[in-house]
Amino acid sequence: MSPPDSPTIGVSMARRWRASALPSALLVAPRGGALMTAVLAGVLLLPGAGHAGTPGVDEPPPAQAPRPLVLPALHQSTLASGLSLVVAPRPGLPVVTVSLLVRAGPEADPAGRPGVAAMTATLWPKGALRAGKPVPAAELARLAEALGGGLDSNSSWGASTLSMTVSSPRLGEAAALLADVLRHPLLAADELERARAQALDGLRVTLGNPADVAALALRRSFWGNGPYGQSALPPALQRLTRADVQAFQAKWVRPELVALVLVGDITPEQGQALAQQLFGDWRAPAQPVPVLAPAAPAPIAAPLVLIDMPGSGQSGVAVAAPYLGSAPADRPQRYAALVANAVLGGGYSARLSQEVRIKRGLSYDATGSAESHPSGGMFSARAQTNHPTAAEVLALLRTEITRLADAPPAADELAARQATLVGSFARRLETTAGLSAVLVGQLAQGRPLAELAAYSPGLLAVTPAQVQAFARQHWQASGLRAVIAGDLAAGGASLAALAAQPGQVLRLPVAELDLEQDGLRKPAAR
Amino acid sequence: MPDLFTRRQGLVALGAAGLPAWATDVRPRPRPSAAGGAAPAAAGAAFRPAGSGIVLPPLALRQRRLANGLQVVSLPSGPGRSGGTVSVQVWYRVGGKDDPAGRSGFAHLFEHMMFKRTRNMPAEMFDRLTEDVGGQNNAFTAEDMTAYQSEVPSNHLERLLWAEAERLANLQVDQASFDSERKVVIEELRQRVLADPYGRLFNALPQHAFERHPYQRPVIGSEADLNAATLGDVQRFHSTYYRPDNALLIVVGDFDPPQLDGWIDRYFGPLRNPAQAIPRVDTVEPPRLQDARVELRAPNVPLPAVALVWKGPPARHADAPALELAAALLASGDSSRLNEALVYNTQAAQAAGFAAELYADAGLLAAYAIAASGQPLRKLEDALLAQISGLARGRVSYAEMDKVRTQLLTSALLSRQTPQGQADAIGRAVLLYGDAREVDQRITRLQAVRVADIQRVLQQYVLRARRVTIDYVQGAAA
Repeated sequence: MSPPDSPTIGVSMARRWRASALPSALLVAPRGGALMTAVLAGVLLLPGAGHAGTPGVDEPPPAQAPRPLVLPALHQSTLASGLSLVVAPRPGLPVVTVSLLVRAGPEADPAGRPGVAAMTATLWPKGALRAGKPVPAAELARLAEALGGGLDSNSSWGASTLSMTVSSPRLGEAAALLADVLRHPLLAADELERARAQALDGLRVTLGNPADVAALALRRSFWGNGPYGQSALPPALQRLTRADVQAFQAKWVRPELVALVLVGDITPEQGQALAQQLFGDWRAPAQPVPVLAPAAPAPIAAPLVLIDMPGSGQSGVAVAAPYLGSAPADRPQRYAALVANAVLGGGYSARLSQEVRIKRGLSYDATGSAESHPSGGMFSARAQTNHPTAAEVLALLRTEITRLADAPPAADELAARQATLVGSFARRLETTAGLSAVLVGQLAQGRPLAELAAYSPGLLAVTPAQVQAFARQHWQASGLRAVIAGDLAAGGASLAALAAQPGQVLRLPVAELDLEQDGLRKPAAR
Repeated sequence: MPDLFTRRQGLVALGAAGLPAWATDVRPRPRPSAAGGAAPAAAGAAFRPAGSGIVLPPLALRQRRLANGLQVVSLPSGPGRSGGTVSVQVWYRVGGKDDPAGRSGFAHLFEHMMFKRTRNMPAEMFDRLTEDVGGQNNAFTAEDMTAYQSEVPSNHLERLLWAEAERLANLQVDQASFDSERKVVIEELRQRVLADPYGRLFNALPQHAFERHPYQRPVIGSEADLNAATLGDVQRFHSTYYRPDNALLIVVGDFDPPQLDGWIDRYFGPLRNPAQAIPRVDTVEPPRLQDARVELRAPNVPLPAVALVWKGPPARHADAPALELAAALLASGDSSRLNEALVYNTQAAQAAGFAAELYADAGLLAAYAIAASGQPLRKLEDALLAQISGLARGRVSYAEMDKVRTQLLTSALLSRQTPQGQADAIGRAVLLYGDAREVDQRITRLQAVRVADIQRVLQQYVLRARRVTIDYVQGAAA
């Protein structure tokens, strides 16, 4: 066991592990696939450091020896057409998650037409040709749900996906359904109108929620005019045409950009046969695979945007800071960036939650998250709070982001956040849908799956100095953007003082907000 | 349905349409149900529904009860199935219905205090023992229960058992952390009920569903009642309800059974119960005698909504499985009857749902619809009733029944993928049904429900019963 005055054991274990002191269980590699392993850090943090207690009586008993976690083998191959196949067998429960991934998401929307990728994914399950005959949306929904799981379609940065989780006897039918929906969607005009009306109503709800309004405005303010700053808001939805959707389908849904991912109760041979049966006849088009120009953040409007939503139940507070991109040149800093993100926003005990919730009780939830794109990245910190404390929460979020450059994590803090990252990764692998999402995420970023084996050791090798260097490079006060959306009149004197900073603040009522304008404000009525 | 309040964010996520998850995903959580028309599963027999090709072997549950009354259910993960994690959960038989008079929301506020100081642990020590070693923790309070749910790398199991016993026996909350955490809970109330455009509507349902039972108070409580609570209330509540004979300990995942039993004996065995009996709510909810209409106004209602509320039977009632099937036929998935008719075909609603929320002492049934732009609420109300009536009186095909049976079976299968999912199912089975084996038996019971059962319960509890109709519209709150 560890003595109470040795809170750094987690880190030393991590280093030992990096030096390849692998438990012997890990050295037996399964054949035919990449072996991924992780050991959960066995951090020992005892209460009241310095006081000599009796383990199991007035302090926790020691942890047992950590047990290795052996991750499933991954079998990756490519069909002649360029379509990728990944099979991750997990015997045990008779469950399989089947996913189809197209490596294009909203970043591939034509300029000025946000919402095309999202609408394409929405329309996929709303009618398709099956064996040459059109099958309408309601019939497809019945077919999918009769297999036991709904048909999920989604479009997010870098990937548009179709996915189902079914009991293994239903796999063949489910995969065939997904393949038809992806390859032969009707993209019908009446379904577009229906989906447009529903999305517009959904946006009315979104735009009534202060936290959602703050997040949308922050994205636009931070990224500016590039694709990552855009959201599919009502004016863009109104403009969207069937031709837009058909063009997106024709341009991006092609075998070299598609992956079939099968996770669960299935063998590599069964997966290969299924892929051949469903996609063996698909041919790549003659045109080259399209390439997108990178688009780095180019902030607009003002460093602080205040959006007045009279009568709203809380204020949504959000702060953005630059984050690491996903280009090859960014790779060396990747693990330090992930740990820095976790030190601030990676869980209940992380710094944002410590300062806002645990110490001051100002919010139910203060979190951070980060996204990386080839041209750059965005970290964002968010909390919802009562209106009179919105200015205080904003100051706390800003302070915590910039403070990391001067106050790197102590050894125990670092070890805890590393363990949180490794542990949450391990939990995602517990379910077929979770492992599938990990694999889809990796493919969406165009990265090798073998890299997943390096994920845990990479995180555990990060030092406080590396976190500090990352923070110094990316998290300076001058790079921050912020939004508060709420009942500004109820925000009191502290919010009024914020609003009075000349040249730094854009203040406007939500009725005048127009995220398509560079100034974020609706043009005056003509 | 917002009847769960948690220590931490996570349950309320935005749906694809921007609606809160509990407004769009109306599939009721799996809940145990009573013996009734269906034959119970033979002990030890694998469940194999005709034609599905799926085999669900019964869970190898280990059950014990310590001399002090603590109930223990454990389930080791099978060979080759261990992910190296273990779920440790303690469920207490106390919930929102046990809130003291004038203290609505107290059971949930108290749940937050269980993460504060104990005699031998500083505040937030649970986070050191879980999150900081790669695990996670959360807790929730519902009408009849409060559950503390942790998952850790399995080499930390003994430490979690020590800590759960410690906070059961030795909680020592101070005024400063009580004041601070109360603010957090009030922000939770604002976030879930006030900031969310439909929070006020769903929060109001129990108040209109129940006329006498304390279920009529929302579990999250009111800001005034939360502010009235004192440190003395915390101490009284802990000594009244947090005792071994009112608790269920569940351990699922990677552990060695004899070692687990030894640790449980060591840490929980010495705990004692107070002499006084545990107070229990014994209010009987009467049938509703008259229909009622209510208009609920809120400052931010993007699209008006209507909710119809009836009384339902308690969770153990023989009619519960049929009501769960009815809810699935009406509201589970895109091809469900309400979605197909109200959202897809007529485009009258932005979202529509039906939920059977059956608690230990009584239940509520709710149908609701959020209007699509410009659609009148009376049209939505008529459409909801027409769909329910159509299900209760019309033809239900074999294919449609097979679909919902397969959905329910698949959902049970998926919950078995994680230690947390299995432990959660065990907790609900014990607290609502009184038997951990209900985890297996409810699957059999649900598969055995016939169309005639569904039609009878819809006639009885919905079509021939009195209801409250709630219109939710924009306006100054009353």
